[in-house]
Amino acid sequence: MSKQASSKVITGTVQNSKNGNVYEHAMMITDAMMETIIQVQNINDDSNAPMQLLIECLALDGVGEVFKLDMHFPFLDIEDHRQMLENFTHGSLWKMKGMFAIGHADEQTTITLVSPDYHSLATEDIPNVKAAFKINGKFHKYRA
Amino acid sequence: MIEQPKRQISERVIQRCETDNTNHFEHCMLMPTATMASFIKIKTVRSYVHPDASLQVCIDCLALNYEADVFELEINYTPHSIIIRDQLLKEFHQGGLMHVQGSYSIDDDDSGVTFTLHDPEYHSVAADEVIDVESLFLKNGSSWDR
Repeated sequence: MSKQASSKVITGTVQNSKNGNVYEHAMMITDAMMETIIQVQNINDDSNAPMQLLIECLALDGVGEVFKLDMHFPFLDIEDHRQMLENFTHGSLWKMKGMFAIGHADEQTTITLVSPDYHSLATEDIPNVKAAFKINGKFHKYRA
Repeated sequence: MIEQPKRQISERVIQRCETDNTNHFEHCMLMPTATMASFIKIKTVRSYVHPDASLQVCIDCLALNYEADVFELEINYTPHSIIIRDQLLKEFHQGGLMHVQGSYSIDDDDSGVTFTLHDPEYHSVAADEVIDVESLFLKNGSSWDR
């Protein structure tokens, strides 16, 4: 990759690992942020990549509709990794805020929060949030 | 504390025009803090006056995620006056760049995922960032499906 003079943009190439196609890509870290409430569905604790976690979730948009969201924590030390495995149990609820990536390949769209900040919900909000996941997820293809 | 409307659970009926089939389903209305912020490049702007005199401005855009990949985004404004509507039409024009932030909805069905921002705040892109942001849309604009 080469950095252009007087620009924050870095240019390079990206290769699709499935079909081998190579694309030019210009990269700049923007402040694209997303905030939501999530319910943990599955934790992918890859023993080949012990310092990162991929967590599959359901999330709520601004009117309480359910959508599928991934969270990626790529750079964890041992203590953070242990703590997250302890925190992100199946079904647990969290407020999340962080940089988002949107991928689109093979007609599938994925939404991923990268190293988001996370906080637990206020106790009084938990019943309403659980109801939203349960009722609004019931008719959704990603059922809670 | 998340603000709750008095009646949290409503029933919706959707009728498919082609077949007249109807689907009944419940919806639990919850309005959590779900916001999204991004740079956008405007593709088209449409303005409507509905039969009840309400106003709507629909904007189709390209947007950037955090590492500058491009995705499609819709913006929906419901201005409360013609003055505000005209101000939106003046500021949002084809090819224009903006930074937007607001409440989002995500419609994920068999036809794909649609991202919509509702009445977002907007700001022009800082002068020293315009060239970089423009170049990201230019170079990555075809990246939506790869």
